[in-house]
This record gives sequence, C-alpha cells and structure tokens, in this order.
Amino acid sequence: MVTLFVPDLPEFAALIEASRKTAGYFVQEPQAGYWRIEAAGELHFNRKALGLKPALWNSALSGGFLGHILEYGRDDLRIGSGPA
Amino acid sequence: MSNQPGSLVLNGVHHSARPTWKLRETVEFYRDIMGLKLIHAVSARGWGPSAHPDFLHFFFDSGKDSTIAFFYYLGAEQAPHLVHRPEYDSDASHTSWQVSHRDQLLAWRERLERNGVDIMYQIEHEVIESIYFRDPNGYYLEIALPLRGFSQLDAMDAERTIEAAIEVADEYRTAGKELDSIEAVWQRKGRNLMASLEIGQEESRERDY
Repeated sequence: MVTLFVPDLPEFAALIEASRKTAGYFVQEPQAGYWRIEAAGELHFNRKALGLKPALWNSALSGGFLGHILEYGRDDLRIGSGPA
Repeated sequence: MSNQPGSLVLNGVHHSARPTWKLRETVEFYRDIMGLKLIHAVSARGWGPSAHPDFLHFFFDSGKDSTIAFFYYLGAEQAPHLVHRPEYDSDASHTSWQVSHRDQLLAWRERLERNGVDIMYQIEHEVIESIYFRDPNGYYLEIALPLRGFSQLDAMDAERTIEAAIEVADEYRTAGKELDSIEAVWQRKGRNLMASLEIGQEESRERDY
C-alpha cells in the first residue's frame, strides 16, 4: 500500500481530481486538512495530464507520503509502497 | 512575558539594506527606471569601528512605508566575497515586493523590459506568481502577485513540514550523514501525519465509547 497525503489547498486540487478518475486509487476526504490517496501498488501521475507547472510539480509530494519514490522526472512521477 | 506567536508583533518592513559600489547606476535603476522615490539619504563620516569609512546610506520608497536601502562606502574597495555571484545560493538573499493585481505585475514587466531590464523568469509558484530580474549590482529582485492569502492550513502544514525536516536533519547529522534529498522529509512527514491521524481516530473512538 502506498499512501500520499495532499493538503486541501487549491493548488494541489489536480492531484485529487486525477486520482478520483483513476481505477485502483482510493481517495479519502480530508482529515486534519489532508486528502489521502492510496493504491495497492504504485501511484503514478503525469505532469501534463495534471496541468501542473514545474514549480508546483516539484512540490507535489509536499504533503508527505508512505512509500518511496520510484521515478520523479520532468513529466512522470511514480511512488511505490514500502521503504526505499 | 509570553513568547507565543502574536504576543509581540512587528509592523512590516522599514528597510532592507545592501552595499553598493555602483552609486550612479544604483540610483538610476531604482529611482529612474523603477520609479521608486528617493526619500532619505544619510551622508556621514565613518564612525564606530576605527576602520569604518565615510558613507552614504540612501533609501527608496517601496510602498506601505517600506524602503529598500543601500550603503555606499567612500574609498572602500569591494571585497571579492561581496561581488554578487549569480547562483541560487547567493540569489537566496533577495527582495520580493508585492503587487495587488495581475495587470500591475504585467505592467512592471513591460516597464522593466522597455528600459532594458532582462526579465529572467515569470513563474507561478504555490501562492504567488513572480517576475525576476537583477539590479546593476547583480542583486536578485522579485515582484510577486499573491494568488491567494495564507490560510490556517498553510500554517499547520508548515509546522508539519519543518518539524519533519528538523527531525530528519538531526538524525542524519547524528549519524554523520548529509541530508541531501527532500524524499526523507516527505516520508517522515507522512509517517508523522499518519500517526497523528491514527491517534486522533483512537481518541475519537474512545470518546464515542
């Protein structure tokens, strides 16, 4: 299981919207100000699909997560479960 | 007296100050190109430390009773370490002014470019959109448009981020290692957040019981 916390702030809304539309991603309503996105395997996001400019793309994980980064490039981000 | 945030407050910026070795260029940039009014100038003999040179200390109005100020030391050579190095770490020391509307941000960009100032970037960040440029000293300057105000969640999130970063940085230092990636901070923040949510659920269950 990989878990990503996303602050309930407007600039991060694209992560929530995209996750809601992705099969296998479970999105939990905010608790203590944080959405929770979970998946059994990996979480994968594409910058262009999210419409995020580079500055926000590079802080997209700033809410914190449980898992480890598999890929964090210019356009693709993948987080896997468990410690690195 | 309490040291809690808000128990003793500051009332904005009076001035920030930097040294210059380009007197004419600095005045022409801030007063004539940017159009900031020169509102105060101290001209004085060197005083204090015996090696202190005579100096000018002059202030430009940057709005809401704030100023940007410069020191010009007479007869003092610019030390090599004070020549601005245009790299991210030196540029971390910068001034960022704010405007209220996007058309003002664009108008500043247009004015600066019309006067030959290179706009290095226009970037939309988390809560501001900014233009970046340099003054004749090479100092990094920014004009920012707030995209939204700061919320209570911003403050809570900042506490969680910095708390996690301090924890991890301390652990790395104790282990003789260097914290060189933000991933460990995000992982710690996630772990701490999950733990606090679970404690909250536990307390909620106990209350319900």
